[in-house]
Amino acid sequence: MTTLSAYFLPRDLHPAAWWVWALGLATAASRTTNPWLLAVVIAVVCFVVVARRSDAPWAMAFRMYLWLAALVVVLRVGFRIVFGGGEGGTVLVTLPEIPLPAWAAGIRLFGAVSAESLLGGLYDGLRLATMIVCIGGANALANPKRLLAAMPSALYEVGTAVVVALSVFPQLAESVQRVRRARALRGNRAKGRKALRAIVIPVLEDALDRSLQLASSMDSRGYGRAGAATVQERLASGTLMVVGLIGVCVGVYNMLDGTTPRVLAGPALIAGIVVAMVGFTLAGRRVARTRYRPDRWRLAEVVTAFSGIAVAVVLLATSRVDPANLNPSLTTLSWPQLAWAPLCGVLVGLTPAWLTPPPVVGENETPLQETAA
Amino acid sequence: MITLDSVSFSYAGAAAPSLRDVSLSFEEGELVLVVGRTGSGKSTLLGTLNGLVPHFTGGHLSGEVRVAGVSTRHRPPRELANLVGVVGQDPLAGFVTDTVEEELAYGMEQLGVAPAVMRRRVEDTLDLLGIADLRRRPLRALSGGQQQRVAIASVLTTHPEVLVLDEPTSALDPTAAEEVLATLARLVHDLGKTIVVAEHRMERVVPFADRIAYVVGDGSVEVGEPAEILRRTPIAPPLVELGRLAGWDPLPLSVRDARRHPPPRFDALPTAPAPKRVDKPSNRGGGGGGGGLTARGVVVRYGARVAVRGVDLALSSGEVTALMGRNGSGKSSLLWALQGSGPRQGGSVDAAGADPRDLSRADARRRVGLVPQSASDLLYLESVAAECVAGDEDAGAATGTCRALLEDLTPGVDDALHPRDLSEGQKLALVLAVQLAAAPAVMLLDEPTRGLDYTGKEVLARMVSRLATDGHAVVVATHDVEFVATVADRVVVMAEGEIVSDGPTADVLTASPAFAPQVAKVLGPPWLTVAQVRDALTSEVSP
Amino acid sequence: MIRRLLGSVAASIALVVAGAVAPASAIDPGKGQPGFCRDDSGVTVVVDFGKLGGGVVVRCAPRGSGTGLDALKGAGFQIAGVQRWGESFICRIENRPSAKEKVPVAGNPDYRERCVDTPPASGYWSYWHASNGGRWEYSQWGVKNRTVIPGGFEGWSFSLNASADANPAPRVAPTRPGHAPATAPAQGGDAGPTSDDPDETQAPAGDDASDSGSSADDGTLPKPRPREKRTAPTAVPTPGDPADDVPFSDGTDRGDVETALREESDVGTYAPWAAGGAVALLGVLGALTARRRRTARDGR
Repeated sequence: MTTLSAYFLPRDLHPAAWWVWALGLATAASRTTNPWLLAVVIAVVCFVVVARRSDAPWAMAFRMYLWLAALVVVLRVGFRIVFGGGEGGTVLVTLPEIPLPAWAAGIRLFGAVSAESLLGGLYDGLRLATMIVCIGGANALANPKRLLAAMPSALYEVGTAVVVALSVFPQLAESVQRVRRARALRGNRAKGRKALRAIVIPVLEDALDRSLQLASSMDSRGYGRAGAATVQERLASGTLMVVGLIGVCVGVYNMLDGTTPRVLAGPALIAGIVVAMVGFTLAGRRVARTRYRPDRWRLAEVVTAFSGIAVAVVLLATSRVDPANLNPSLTTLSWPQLAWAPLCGVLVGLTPAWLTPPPVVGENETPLQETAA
Repeated sequence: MITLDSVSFSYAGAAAPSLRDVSLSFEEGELVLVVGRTGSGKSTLLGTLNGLVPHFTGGHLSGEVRVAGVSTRHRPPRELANLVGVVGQDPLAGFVTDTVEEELAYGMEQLGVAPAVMRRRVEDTLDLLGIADLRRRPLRALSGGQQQRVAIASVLTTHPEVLVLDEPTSALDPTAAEEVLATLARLVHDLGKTIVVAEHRMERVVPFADRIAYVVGDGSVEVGEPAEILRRTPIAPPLVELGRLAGWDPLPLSVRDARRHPPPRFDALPTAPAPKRVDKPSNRGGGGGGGGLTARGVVVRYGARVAVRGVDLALSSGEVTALMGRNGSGKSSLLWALQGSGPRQGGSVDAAGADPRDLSRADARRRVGLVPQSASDLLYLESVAAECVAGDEDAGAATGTCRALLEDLTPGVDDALHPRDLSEGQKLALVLAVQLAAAPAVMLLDEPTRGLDYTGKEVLARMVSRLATDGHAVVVATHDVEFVATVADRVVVMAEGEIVSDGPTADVLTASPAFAPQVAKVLGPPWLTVAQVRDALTSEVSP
Repeated sequence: MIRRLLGSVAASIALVVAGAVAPASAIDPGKGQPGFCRDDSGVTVVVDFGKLGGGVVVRCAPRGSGTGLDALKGAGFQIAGVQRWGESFICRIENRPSAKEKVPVAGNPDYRERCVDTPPASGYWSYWHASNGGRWEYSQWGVKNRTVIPGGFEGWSFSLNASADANPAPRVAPTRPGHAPATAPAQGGDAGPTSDDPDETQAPAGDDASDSGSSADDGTLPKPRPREKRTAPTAVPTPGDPADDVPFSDGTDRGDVETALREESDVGTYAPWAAGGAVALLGVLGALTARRRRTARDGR
């Protein structure tokens, strides 16, 4: 039984907890286009990120997701303006219509722009933007590399490949910078394809060299030391994993879609999870690898994951009962309405901001880097 | 501990075997230095020790390699990871994780060590190597010396019997190199590990080595006591060459050995060496008009960090200037700013009447040429001939200029070779030829000695002297004190973006013990190089 | 910063909305006239609720030009499009099928139409048109992409679990009362052979819409009512027989759509205010927290 102060000792939560929380919020957001609810979801995610993220550089990239979300909304509204904004009674402004030939008679460019169509675009874009912000929040709160390290042992090789690939990109960017500077030294004036060649070839050769060095280093340190497993065992566990994952995918899709036969939703999801788990444990048994200071799943993680699941469940339930205000109608132009149940459900997602231990700070101070010695 | 039994190895498709019938054995608790020319097979020999050769590199290996009684014949490197730890030349390229602590734990994770044991070993190793305060730092933020120590720590946590290091100090400045070598010495003496090190700059390691393995180049390897082997090798540190010159027996391996030799250390040595290069057609009249360069108050900043802080520098044609200083003192930034391709936030640079930054890149390189640190960044074509042709085009020079220059610098380079297949020295010569095709009056070289062995450095020294004789002003940024002693007329030392000392080579190099070449440490100033001693002795003999 | 931007955008939209709230009512009695159109200048709109229940409503849109959507709205019907395509696809007419209504489509007996994306092919509003006295044709164009036939008919019929060839046409014949029969109606380029017997296109006796179709009679017993010849093998429906019309209304007896919507969902009157307040509060708290953490980090 942990005491209260031990509960709130600063530490980093298990990354999967944050991801479950964020995915719960994203699922909830995918069920509604009510702008009030979506705005509250975005506010919840932003607040929890500000309150609980660490100082690491990857945590500071949350702003990019907000920009991306804003871009999505702007694009959707822009499409409505360009491609069809005249329906509905309240015309805001009439742009000159660009006539199209008869074979494109179904498409209309510009013309009258009405408030209803803009609002429709806004609601649609806002839903996608909210889901992007939720995923961005998960990225900012959970170290992606720790998440990969927390994957089941059966997926370890895949996880390592992804981790290595993630570290390749900053190196590639650095390589490209160096090579471009060197080209300036050489006075190479070629443009277009020849210039591309002068940059791409040294970068690729460099990347190839580095990857060979990395491979030999990993090999020398024991990566890939498989235990004793026969070919049949590996085949069986691999098949089970793949079939299970397919089942999970089918189940999740149908659960979120709502228009497909119900038998493909819940039962497929559960069956898929079970089969995948069996496959993972079978495959994981043959791997003789340990984990250094693994993230542990404690009470705070349960609280976080639970809050995300609760939000998703509330919204799924109210959509069954109360669909009208989850998708506000555009028949007449008026403020979208809102019921209390979904609103309270979304606010449950705020619990991790207060009921989880604060993050560890002060460990990621890096001395200022030098770009040229 | 390590036994090679009639081992022969040849790479797939190679004309000659890299190792031919090599039989040797290394004892437990020894530090063995592996020396040899570039391309002689040092890396191959080291690779056989943990199974990278032949399991990773391919090729055909015959004979038996045994490490701690375990043969590498049927065991790939990962099966030998608990016996042999390998540290490569570029530690950053070998890092798998993000932070120091995780990197240390990585090897143990792969071996399936229990978590409690892992925790303890990580703490012990952090203390052993003195990197405990770095434990959560991201690896990319460490300095070169720290990275090398972390790389060593990360292979130590698995408690291997043997440590193999391939050129651990090549990228480090002298101080960082001393740190790493002291660590290695401590590992040998305190922990009794067997350590096999390959190193070009032998002068740093020879004092610590128990035995030397000399890879001849024809596939054979000679192993023996350092004093014995160094008697015969064509490449040797300056101290050993001095000993050979003086006929000392046994050869001195460290400065201490040399100074403890009973005086007089040399018979009839004049008090000062003859002044260098009296017959140079240089006009030492300062830079500016006659093909030099004048820089005043150069400031280079990267955001909030100031790399170069108001540096004044005057280069005159025919003079070789060495730019020295630890990593991060601003040498590279200064060179790039002088060439005009790098950022420059303040000050002025005058090269033949114009500021290189304001000119087009093609015009700038006709005044100031720069060979960057990673010279192979400039090479992108498939053959030496194609590079030369492109180099002529880029420089707007007559066809064949670049090829002729390359022939001058390094004769005998095959036209059809792929530039990446050339040796380090040949690559450097090729890039130098490409840059020289534009006939700049000022030539800047950034760390050209990295990866070169003694012969390569001699060739480079000759190239640089040729450039100076032809009237170029040359600047060489380097850590290598011996090279500077050989080739430079003037030394400029930088620290924290400012010039700390600027004067003739002899004065600056001998002013502080850290920068003194080995000959100066033994014979005292103004003697700097073995060549000077040799010239003095031969001119004495034949007046 | 972004939150402030979004807030200002929302505020500007609010200003627009506040100035332009249309009165909510059911069939808008101010638009259109009940029943068929009297003459050629308008378009008659027929809405057949089919298996949804609700009968048939026939109204006249006085303006006989414009797109199908203009006609539908001009007749006074309240419509809702889909969220994704706007009003290019009609999802609800007079709030049917409503968001709470269970539509028994094949494979999902509890299906609810949320009007977010295009409704499924097993339960949607099918769009028909006809010229006066002609027969219902399934429209090959969308509601915004074709202009109406002046004096013609626009038809909407809810198609439930019908295959692609067998969508039910509206159950009111597209013939204006008092209209002379068209001869040899050949509309829209359909391929079926048409009978040019005037008796066939007309309504048989007994219906007040009949006219001189039976003038060929010479006073003897009326000819047996000609059966509607099936001009198979095409599936072109024969011209509707006004005698087969189901009873229709003019829609003025329907309830208010907005009230219905509000009753369907238990909205809270102050819930939107609470939501807005929550967003603002979280924004302020977040800014304060961020500042506190930044000073703590810099002060270290």
